[in-house]
Amino acid sequence: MESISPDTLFIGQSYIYLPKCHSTNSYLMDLIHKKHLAEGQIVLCEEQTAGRGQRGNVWVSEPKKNLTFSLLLKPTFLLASDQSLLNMVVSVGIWRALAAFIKEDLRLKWPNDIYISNKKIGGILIENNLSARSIANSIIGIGLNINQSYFPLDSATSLKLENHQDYDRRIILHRILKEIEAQYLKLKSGNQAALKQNYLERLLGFKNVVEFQDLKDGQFFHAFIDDVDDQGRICLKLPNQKLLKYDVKEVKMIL
Amino acid sequence: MKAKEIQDLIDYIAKSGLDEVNIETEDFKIRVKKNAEYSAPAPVVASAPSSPAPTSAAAPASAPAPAAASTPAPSEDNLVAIKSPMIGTFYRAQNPESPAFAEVGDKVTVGQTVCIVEAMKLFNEIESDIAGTIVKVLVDNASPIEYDQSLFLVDTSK
Repeated sequence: MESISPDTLFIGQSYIYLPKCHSTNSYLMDLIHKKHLAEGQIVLCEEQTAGRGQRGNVWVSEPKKNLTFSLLLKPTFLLASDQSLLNMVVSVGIWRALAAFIKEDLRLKWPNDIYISNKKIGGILIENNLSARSIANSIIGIGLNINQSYFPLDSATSLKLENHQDYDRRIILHRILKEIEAQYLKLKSGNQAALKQNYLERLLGFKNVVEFQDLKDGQFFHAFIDDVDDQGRICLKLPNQKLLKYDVKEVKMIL
Repeated sequence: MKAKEIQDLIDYIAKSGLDEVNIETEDFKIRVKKNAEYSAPAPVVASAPSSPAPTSAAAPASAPAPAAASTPAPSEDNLVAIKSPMIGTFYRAQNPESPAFAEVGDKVTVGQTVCIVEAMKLFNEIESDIAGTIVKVLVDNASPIEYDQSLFLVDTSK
């Protein structure tokens, strides 16, 4: 995928292709510190040697089978404290793009993974660069399993595993960029409520009772997912009707 | 020569461009040297602005300045804190294998990344909004931090 030609205003209009790199997020972050980059810059890498999931978690991807790329946004209109809205922009954008290719049960898992029928098909890793109180640069790392058909973990899947066919990754990427751009422009124009509604509607377990694990004491419990607040915390209603808000470090959803 | 006068003298020299000053009279002899080879232990500072720093008792201004001190005690006026723009978890390096962005004694410039604050799986590089030399790291790696909490103490005169 040496070149792409998305039908977008700015996302993906500037494109860097790397056959191999450590991590597209790290590559883009280093580049930002060296030179000016336009908003919408994409770095796509076919083989990440140190691709990252959440801090420390390694993302395993076969070369040229999947989509692993990073996107640069400059949401200076957002306060650092509102950054979970960016997470919603990207999650909803990817959901809408993938929904065009797959009929299966496609869901967002709080806070920002993408699942098909309870298996993970992709994840998002956002790294921001804050200047004073606003977000100067936001590096959005996206990893999606497309044509890979073997995974060491049962809990992972790909479009190919679900639909038994190979996909043209360029077409999927174009669609993703267009959908993320549309969501981003909506956020920029102030339509936060609609964005959040879109996110919640696609959220795995929303308005249902789901099992969680308390990461502090290791205890398992069931709770009703009531909301996700503006800081991105999940709001759970416990069996005793008590409403509590949790950070990602505090609870984990069990599938 | 009174302690206060010595303090004022040191402040004056610190603000001048001079690296080393030797003064000798019949009564006393004082030698003040900036940027000494070794890094002096981070001074315990009274007024880290709004920082909940536990070390606050010894105000250096009232301590008799040792005449032979080879580094000037940084004046409180020059100490400014880099604060967190958000609630989250404080990390001193890009990842566990990388070196810290900033160590005590390092010079930082405006816009330089000094740490990462993570919140809800989102990682935020925090840029310094001041230039100077880091004299103290106020938070331990991987600790939770509050909005506006002081993270680093920077001596803006150096």
